[in-house]
This record gives sequence, structure tokens and C-alpha cells, in this order.
Amino acid sequence: MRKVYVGGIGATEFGAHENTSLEQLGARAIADALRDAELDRNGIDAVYVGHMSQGEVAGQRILKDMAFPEVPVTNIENACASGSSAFREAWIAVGAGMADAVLVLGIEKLASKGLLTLKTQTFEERVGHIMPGSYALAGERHMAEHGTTIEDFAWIAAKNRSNGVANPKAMFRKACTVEEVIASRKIAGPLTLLQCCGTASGAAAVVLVGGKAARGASRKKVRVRSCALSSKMQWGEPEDLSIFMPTYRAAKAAYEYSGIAPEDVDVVELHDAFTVGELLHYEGLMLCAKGGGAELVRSGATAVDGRVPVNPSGGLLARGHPVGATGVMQLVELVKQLRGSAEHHQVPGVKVALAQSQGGTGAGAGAAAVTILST
Amino acid sequence: MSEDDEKNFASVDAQRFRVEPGGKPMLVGGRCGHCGCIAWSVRAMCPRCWATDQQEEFALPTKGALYSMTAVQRAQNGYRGPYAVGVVDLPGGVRVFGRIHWPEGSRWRAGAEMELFAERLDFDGDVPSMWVPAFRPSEVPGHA
Repeated sequence: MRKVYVGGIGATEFGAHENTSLEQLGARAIADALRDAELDRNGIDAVYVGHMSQGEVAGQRILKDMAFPEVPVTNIENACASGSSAFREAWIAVGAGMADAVLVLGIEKLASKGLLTLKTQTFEERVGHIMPGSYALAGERHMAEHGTTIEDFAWIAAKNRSNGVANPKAMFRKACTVEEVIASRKIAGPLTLLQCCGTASGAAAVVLVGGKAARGASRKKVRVRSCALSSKMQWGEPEDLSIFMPTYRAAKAAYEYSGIAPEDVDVVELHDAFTVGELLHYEGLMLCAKGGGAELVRSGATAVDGRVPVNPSGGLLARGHPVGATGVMQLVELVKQLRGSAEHHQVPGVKVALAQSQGGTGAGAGAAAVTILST
Repeated sequence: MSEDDEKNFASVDAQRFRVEPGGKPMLVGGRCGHCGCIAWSVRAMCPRCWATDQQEEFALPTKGALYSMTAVQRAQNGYRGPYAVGVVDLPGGVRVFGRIHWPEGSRWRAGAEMELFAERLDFDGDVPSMWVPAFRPSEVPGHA
């Protein structure tokens, strides 16, 4: 694999975008990313588009309105990990020398606002399960095994929502206290409304460059050190619900490939669709030992001024979650951190950044991706 | 409502759960005659050895250990909440999902022995009622 760098980034704000079409959302993020990369559309060799529900050939429908040259376009779906999966394919293409400059777009325009729901009605949902219920089951098991409390989960929501107040691209920019989080409407198990992300529409884009396209550095270069993808395909054997194994497997592969260790990571953007997710991902990412998630919360290490800030951008909880866009937006945020140009909550001295995203049904099918970037 | 009317309600999924005449609930297991793999419901193809023949039905155990459960306060449209759902690990290695009835006022216990019963779900409007698998703590002889 050749060295692969981030040439440019761009994103729309996340929000309702009721009067903005899919094509317009995509065009704004793409134009910003190309401008940031100082590249013309003719300099792009291929495009990868991550989305969940935008229909057939979504990438081509967006790019034709930008008079894009007819380069290879691949549309990729992996539920909430669609954007990060698209990024991974782009990284492989550039690393393998199949392309020198590749555009990655993550995008989703949602039909209705509210809590996240998926298309497939599973057996579990017919019995009465709800999408946050899988996270609630995991949270309840974690509480039973490790003494984790609702306050631990609620602290994560207060942290992320407060972090998001300063993020101009975030949809939900209202700070809240742990008490307010706990007092918000009950959803399932320990999860209350403020611990759950809201749906949104939005787009984020990244240009990856290698070979000829990587020459000339007008600013500090951000390099993609690894991008690992793991699957969840639960066919029957009971699994440990107190940890997200796909996160762990993807993290292990990403650390090993890059030669970077968990303690080297300076900042993290991870998949906090629900607070339980963030706490369990601390363990999956080996930021602490298995079972140590609540202790890490209580230490304050993942606060914006802590040892390893997690979701300084506000995460999904503050940004909102346009399913296909989230994975790419996390990387946009981390690139800003690594460049030293984050408008909100710049972490001092960032050299290594990690993004984690995951997606799937509540019933045993999904994906998790872990990406490591460095200067 | 007569007993006959009760029996005629459909199961949420007859491939996984049935209510026999007389109300006895059954979780439908599938066993592969070739490799012995067992799963919840008979599959058209064994997940482990990919055989499409000798896939047999059998009755799964009706008691198991509670692995996790959660209250559901914000149910989907049409579902009457709050209620609880969860997963129970049956002897033999199959984990099943269903409604969970845990006594009010005490926290659920991981590993508690639960027993299967058939719960009837009613919905608003013209949506027909249906049977779902449900679990409650086993009666333990000699305990209050």
C-alpha cells in the first residue's frame, strides 16, 4: 500500500434541510472538499459514496448535476457505517495505486425526523423490540456485570451535547446537565431521550490523495494510517452483550496495521448514537480494560479537557445522525483537529486521531469500522 | 371470549413459536440431521454445514437463564407500553428473545431461571391479536 493522505474536507451543517434536495446537499459538501483540496473535478479519478436509503445510483444522480467527468462511481451501504465503509474503499483504491485522487461522499436525506428506525421489521421488533432496545439490553447487562449506573451513561450525553454547543455544523446545540438527561423522557432501560441521537440530513466529503496527487504540501499533511472493517453476523451462538466485538476486532486490526497503540491516541470521534454505545466502545477501542468503561467515565479522561477527549465535536448526539454522512463527518472533524484548525474544542498537540463507527440491525447483522489518522 | 377464539390467534411467527391446543407454549427448534447444529426455528439450510435436507423440528426447552432484559417505555405505534423484553439462554446453547415479566419493585438478576409462557398481545383498531413468547421467573418449590 502506498501512503495515502487527506487532500481536502468539506461538509454541510446537519439539520432538517427540508427544502434542500439530495443533489444540492451533496454538491455543497463536494464543492467544499474539492476547493479545500485545491483540485478541479477533472483531477478526481474515482468516487465512493456511502448512504443507506437514497435509492439507486445515488452518487451518479448527485454528480451529474455537477457535470462531473464519468469516472468510476461506487455506492456503498453498511447501515450507519456506510460513510466509513466508503472511505475504506477509497483508501484501498489510492493505496493500491488504482487512483491518485479519490472523492468520498457520505450523505443521507431523511424522510422523517425523530428517533432512528430501520427498514427491516425483524421478529424481535414484532415482539415489541425497538431500535434503541439493543443498546438498552447491552447497557442493562453492563450494569449487571460491572455496576455501571444510569449516571455514567447520562454523563456521556451531558458531555457530548455540551461539546456540540460550539460546533456550527451540529443540529442540537443545547447544553444539559446529568440531571436533565436522566429526567428526560424514558425510552428503554437506562436510555432516556437525551441519551439518544436524533435523525438529520446532511453530507460530508473527503478527498484522498496518493502518488502524484499527494505532492506539494501547502499545509500540514494528514495521513491515513489504517482503516479496518469488521462485521457482525450473528447466526445463533449466544454472544457477550456487554462488549461490541466488531468494534474490538476492527480496533485491534487498525492498531496492528498502523503500529499505533491505544495509549498513543490523542482524540477520538466515535459512534455515540446512544450513550451506552460510547461507554462500550471505550472498551472495544481498548481505551480502558474490558469492564472499565464506567471507571473511565468517572475519571473524566474522555472529557474535552481530559487525557483522551472523545467526541469533542459533540458526536452524533449533538450533530444529529444523517446515517450515511456520519462516518465521513467524524473524519472531517478529526482532520480539523490534526490540522489544528478545529473551530470548536481544539485539543492541544493532536498527532494521532481515531474514528470509530458502527451500523446494523438490532438483530445480529452489522459492521464496525475503525480509522486511524496522524500527522 | 371462548377458548376456541383464544387458540385461533396467530403466533407472532409460527416458525419460532406455537401455542398448542390447550394453551401450552412451544419454542420451535431446528436440528440438522447431518451435523447436529441446533438453532431457533428450522432453517431451509443448516447454517453450519449448508445441508438443505434432514432439517428437523423439535421442541426447545421451556426454561432457561435470564441474560439481559430492558423495559421499553417508548413502544412502536400500535404497541401498548410499557413492557419489558429480553433474552433467555436455554440449555443446549440457544438464546431466545421474548417479552419478560419480572416482578415489580426488584431489580432483575442475571442468571435467574425463567420459564416460558404464551402472552397475548392486543393492538388498537383492527389489528389482530397475536401470541408472543414470554418468560417469568420459574416457580421454585419450597420458596415463598
